[in-house]
Amino acid sequence: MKTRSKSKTEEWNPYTSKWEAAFEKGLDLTVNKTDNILYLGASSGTTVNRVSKLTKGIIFAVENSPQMAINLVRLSKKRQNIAPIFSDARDVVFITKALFNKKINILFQDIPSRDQVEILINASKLVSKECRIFFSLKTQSISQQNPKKTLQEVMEKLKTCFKIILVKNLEPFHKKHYFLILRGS
Amino acid sequence: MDNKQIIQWNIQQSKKNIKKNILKDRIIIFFTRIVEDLGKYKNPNFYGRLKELFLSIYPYFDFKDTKQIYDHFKKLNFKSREGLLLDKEEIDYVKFFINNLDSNCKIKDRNKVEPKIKEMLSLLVKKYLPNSSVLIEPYLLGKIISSVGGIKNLYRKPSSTIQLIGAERAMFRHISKKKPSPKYGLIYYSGKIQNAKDKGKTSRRLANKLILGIRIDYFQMFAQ
Ligand SMILES: C[S@@+](CC[C@H](N)C(=O)[O-])C[C@H]1O[C@@H](n2cnc3c(N)ncnc32)[C@H](O)[C@@H]1O
Repeated sequence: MKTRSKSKTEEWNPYTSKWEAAFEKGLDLTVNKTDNILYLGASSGTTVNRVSKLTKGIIFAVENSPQMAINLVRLSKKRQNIAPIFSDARDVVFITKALFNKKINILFQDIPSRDQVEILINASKLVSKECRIFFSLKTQSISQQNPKKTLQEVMEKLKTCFKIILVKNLEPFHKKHYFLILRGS
Repeated sequence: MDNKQIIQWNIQQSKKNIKKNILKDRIIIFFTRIVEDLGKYKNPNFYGRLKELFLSIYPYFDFKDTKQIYDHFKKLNFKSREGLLLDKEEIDYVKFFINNLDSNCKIKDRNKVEPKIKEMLSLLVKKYLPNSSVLIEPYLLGKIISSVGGIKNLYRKPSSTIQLIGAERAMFRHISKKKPSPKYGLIYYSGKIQNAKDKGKTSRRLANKLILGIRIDYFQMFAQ
């Protein structure tokens, strides 16, 4: 079991990666050697690349911007276990096809859009109850009001679908961001 | 399927769907930016522009040394299954441009080449945007498309936004320093506005028509 591997050339950076920021804040993001991961909002794959080194399973990286997805495809050719999925994270029909019934052990979402909660709830159909869910929440994308108030509203919604295990703000690395660890209920 | 096959399937599928998003507006943006650079600088080099175009055609190409981009282009056969596919005429335009560069990617005989490039750009814009290019100068239309990064980012915008594209800095001054809000962006430079008495009203009207034209062009010429 490893949580991360650190090499001199590829330092983790909590200021650019929500995953690493959450790790720095002491959250348990343990990745097991055979875990398959579904990563929504992969961008050009900086964090995906690092996380992919923690498992021998597949990391399915979903991204809907063509330019970012090109970089992801380039990356996946260099690494052994990254499957790039150029798709809207809302399109669970397509993503179901792309997963080929692989059992997902970790679902991670980092999509700062207004409907990020709905996207997560929708995507949770793709995973089983035992799956661990890591959710990076950017409150500013939902509302300009006080972040704590947005968090409260978000948690009300999430409670109807998930068990909330842990919530932590990502200050000082990411302002007005929270990281939530969830499980299906 | 084993893991390797699943990954291969996803790579192929992604490539296929990404290709559908690499549209002919890339070649318009390419020539627009060249004309822009020529307007801004005395003797610009076009490494960056060539690289952008090369990566539109071959999105997954790995450069060892981007300085070699010029040599790559000289050898290029323009047949790509993964990126932008140019027709014969467009390939001729690109070849004309490259043949007039020196090995530092600078234009050899600017007085001869610049008017030709402007003409090619104008023809490309008219070819792919037949409805909107009758409303505004082709070069301005190219600039509007290039400044938002492509037609896909444009056709859904409301006309009030179209009117202000290119006025981002004035908009920022308006918000941060409480300066008056800008009435027009790039379309201000169109002859129609320059000659109008009521520039605000005319630019609003032009933007209204323009976005309709752009939407028609998008669905007729670009959407799959
Ligand atoms: C904050 S970035 C992710 C950064 C990344 N997690 C990292 O640490 O390297 C969010 C990404 O989500 C993508 N995105 C936004 N909406 C999306 C959607 N509906 N489906 C899939 N990806 C989306 C954006 O294009 C962007 O690249």
